[in-house]
Amino acid sequence: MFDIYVLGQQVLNGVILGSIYGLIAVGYTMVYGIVGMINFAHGDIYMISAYVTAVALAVLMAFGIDSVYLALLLTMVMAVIITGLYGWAVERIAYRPLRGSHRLAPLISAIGVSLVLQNYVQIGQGARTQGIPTLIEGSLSIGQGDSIIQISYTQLLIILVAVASMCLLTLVITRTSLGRDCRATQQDMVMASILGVNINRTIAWVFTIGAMMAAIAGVLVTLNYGTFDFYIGFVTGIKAFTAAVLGGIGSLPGAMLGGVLLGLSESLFSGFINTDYKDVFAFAILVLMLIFRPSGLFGKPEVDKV
Amino acid sequence: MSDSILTVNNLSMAFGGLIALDKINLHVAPNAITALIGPNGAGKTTLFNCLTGFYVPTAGSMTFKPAGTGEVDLVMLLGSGWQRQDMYSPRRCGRRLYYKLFGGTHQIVRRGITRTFQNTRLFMGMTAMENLLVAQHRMISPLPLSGLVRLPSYRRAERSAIELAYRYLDEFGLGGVANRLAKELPYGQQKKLEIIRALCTNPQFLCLDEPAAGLNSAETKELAAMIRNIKNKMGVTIFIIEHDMSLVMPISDQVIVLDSGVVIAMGTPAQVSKDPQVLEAYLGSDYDQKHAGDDA
Repeated sequence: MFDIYVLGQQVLNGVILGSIYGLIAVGYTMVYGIVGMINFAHGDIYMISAYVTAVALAVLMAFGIDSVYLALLLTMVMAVIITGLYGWAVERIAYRPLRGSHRLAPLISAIGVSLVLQNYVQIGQGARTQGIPTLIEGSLSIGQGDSIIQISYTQLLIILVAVASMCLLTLVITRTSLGRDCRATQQDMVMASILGVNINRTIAWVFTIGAMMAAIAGVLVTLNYGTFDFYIGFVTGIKAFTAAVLGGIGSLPGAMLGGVLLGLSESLFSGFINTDYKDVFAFAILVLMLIFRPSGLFGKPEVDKV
Repeated sequence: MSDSILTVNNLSMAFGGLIALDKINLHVAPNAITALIGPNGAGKTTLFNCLTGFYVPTAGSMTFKPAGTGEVDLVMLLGSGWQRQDMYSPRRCGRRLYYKLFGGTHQIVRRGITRTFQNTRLFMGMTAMENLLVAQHRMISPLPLSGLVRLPSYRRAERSAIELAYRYLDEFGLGGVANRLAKELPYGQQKKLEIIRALCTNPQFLCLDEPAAGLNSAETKELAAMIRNIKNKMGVTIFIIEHDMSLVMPISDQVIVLDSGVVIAMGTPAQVSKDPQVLEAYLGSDYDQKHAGDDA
């Protein structure tokens, strides 16, 4: 029954799924770190990116760009920029006017934005499941016959791009002035503004960067599965949120690792136990985590900000 | 008084029914150390909070006039309040609109006013050097993502920011701690680092809120020397709240006494320490009678 190849394949699938969760979880964790609230519109930002990918590919085809890799690169750039703008707009419309008001108010307005985005896409693009053709064919495989571990080139691309963008994000946060501004604002917003940091701009960048990471995830998932609808943001968003909590919300490496852990456990569970209950298993992990270690793997215990 | 760097006119700050500052008028002379003293609850920190854009005052104005530039209305920088004269001058109206859009606390520090807090508010999870770099960011990066592609202009600016930070650290005896996390430093060094961080914003006007709180007497002496040093070498005007009279009286050029939201005395340390109203505020209203009894 137990098969090393099945295990290998499931681990591989888990890492791929997990890196997607990680990319989205980064957005949740950064926003939580800086404004102390969950951005419930984040899953739908990811959904927007899937649609932008399809539209961008169609536009590029219409302009006669034949090279798949050039088309992919341009699509990625367009998706990151346009989705980033959506993220910026969410902050501008749903969060900034409500900063300083009751703690729950921005939460509700974010849920509102989430509903608006879903319905706006549904009206604009139709409620049916949409799809794009497979762009990258072929796969690598190890072994033969039934004993085989297979990774398609698209999946390889997912891992590479995910790792690259995580590294880039880490560099931005640790090495640049924008990253230092973000960390300073996260630790003490008032003090940062007294030292001349433009708080509004920094918070807007955090939302935008989070949306850009979700955009990368959206492009990669769309390339891999080929189908999407206006509702994909919900479940994926909640899963990514689980990953962020698992790693310790507010912690960047925590979100990345939490994503991979969640992806792995989900994939191993569905490979060896039961596919139908994989979501139940993922959320059961969340519940256990919240009971036994509420601050997550990397999180610090909650300290009241003065 | 045209030679003052800061002029506060009829400034009031009310929190609902509580009047914390009641029509304050005061002047602060440039290149000097001015102390703000008064009993607890007198409104000293409230005044600091108004000055540094933490609170928007209920009424009145604060005019900042650093050497070599024009006057700045500090309340306007926060992007709040319309005044009738705005309607008559297109230039004023335009500026008001600009600050409505882009105003905020960070605009105050851009004009050269900065402060420290009574309890240390360093970024504890960052190194000492990073703390000092955050204070210099407005000099480093006009474009937020220029640090990612490491434009030559960004690299140059960051290098000079690091140099300046090291210079200040060495000057105030913290040379060895640049790469340690702020939370690992002993309290005395944290206090110093906080003042150095404020200096890194290149201020003309530095507000210190009880810098000696929690320091021992040796550290307090060192602090007094540091403050004098900052004034003399860097030409920074210093506005200081302090309860420790042994620190304040020798170093300050001017003392302002605040009680229950009103300025009750203003002058040199010698003048103020003899002022009957000040003695009353500090020692209670029966002081005079007791004193009268002593004389008899």
